[in-house]
Amino acid sequence: MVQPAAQQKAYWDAFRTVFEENKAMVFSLCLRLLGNRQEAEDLTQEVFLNAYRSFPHFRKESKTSTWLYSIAINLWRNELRRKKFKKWLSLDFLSEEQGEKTKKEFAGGEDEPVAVLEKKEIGRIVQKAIDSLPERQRVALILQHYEGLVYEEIAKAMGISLSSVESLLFRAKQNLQKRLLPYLEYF
Amino acid sequence: MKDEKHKKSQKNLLLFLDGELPKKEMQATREHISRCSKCSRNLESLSRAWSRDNIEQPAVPLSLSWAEMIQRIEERKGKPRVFYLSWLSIRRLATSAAFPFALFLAILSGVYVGTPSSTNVPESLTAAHVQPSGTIEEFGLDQFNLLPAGSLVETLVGFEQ
Repeated sequence: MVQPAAQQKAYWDAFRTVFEENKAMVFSLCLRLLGNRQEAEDLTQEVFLNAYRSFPHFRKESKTSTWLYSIAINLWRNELRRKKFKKWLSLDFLSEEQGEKTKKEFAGGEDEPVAVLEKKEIGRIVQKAIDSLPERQRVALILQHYEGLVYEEIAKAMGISLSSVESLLFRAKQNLQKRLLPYLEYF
Repeated sequence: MKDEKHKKSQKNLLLFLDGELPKKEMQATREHISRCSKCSRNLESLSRAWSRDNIEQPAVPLSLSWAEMIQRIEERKGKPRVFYLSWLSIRRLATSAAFPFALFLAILSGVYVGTPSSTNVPESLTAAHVQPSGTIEEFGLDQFNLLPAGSLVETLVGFEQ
């Protein structure tokens, strides 16, 4: 018979493996969604706290990473709505300061070589264009382009159908191209 | 025709780059790009911007460690789980409650309309309604119960004859 203490240890070990294997990609997704390191760190911790609670119920029908992505996306959407509501309550939407402040995490430093800075600048412009897309298009595009997920995984992570993912990505890429068009001559 | 092809191609360059256009459109766009210098230039710039080489993998902060995680889990263990009534959940609740509520209202109004009511009102009363001149007692309205006995309105308002 398996002792409860041994069971508990096995549970901790299994969860530790999940944490160590996935923390980098969860943090990367959170950072791309939020654009702020501190907030991304908090959200990553929150993702794993939620994952810890529901780990016994995880039936492994999808990959662990996809499951964690779906938790991250749901938490981010809740956070986004909470922020919007707070902003609406405090009438903060009248000032644009907050939005500008959060999008500077990907900008380069002063002592970096020109080529690296150029690359970073291009990356920053693309990131900014992605940030301006509608919420769902943005998530789908980040999951595909930056996290390298395939259509099926995106569908599972976002909790939508495969055809919805296809149309979301189609529209997202058309919109993104429209937004990047004015910068094309500088790339 | 040529202009139309150019516009379509201009719009779908990113999709072309990722190979996500239908087969026919892929072929048409490829052909157009080979002939159009502007589209070919734009495609080149886009492929530079959209290249995966530009993707920066952020460094994981040191504070995101297992020890920190255990501490957070232990901190949370004692606390009961709090469910916030977010705007999303309110909206979901409202959406799911809207149909049963509408159905309930429809049934209620159906019951009310279907209940026999002012069937014994004389013709003179209708005329009196058109041109009222006199008191309720003069018209003899107090003799008629315009609301059905035990109807919803009567119950709610406490109407008594």
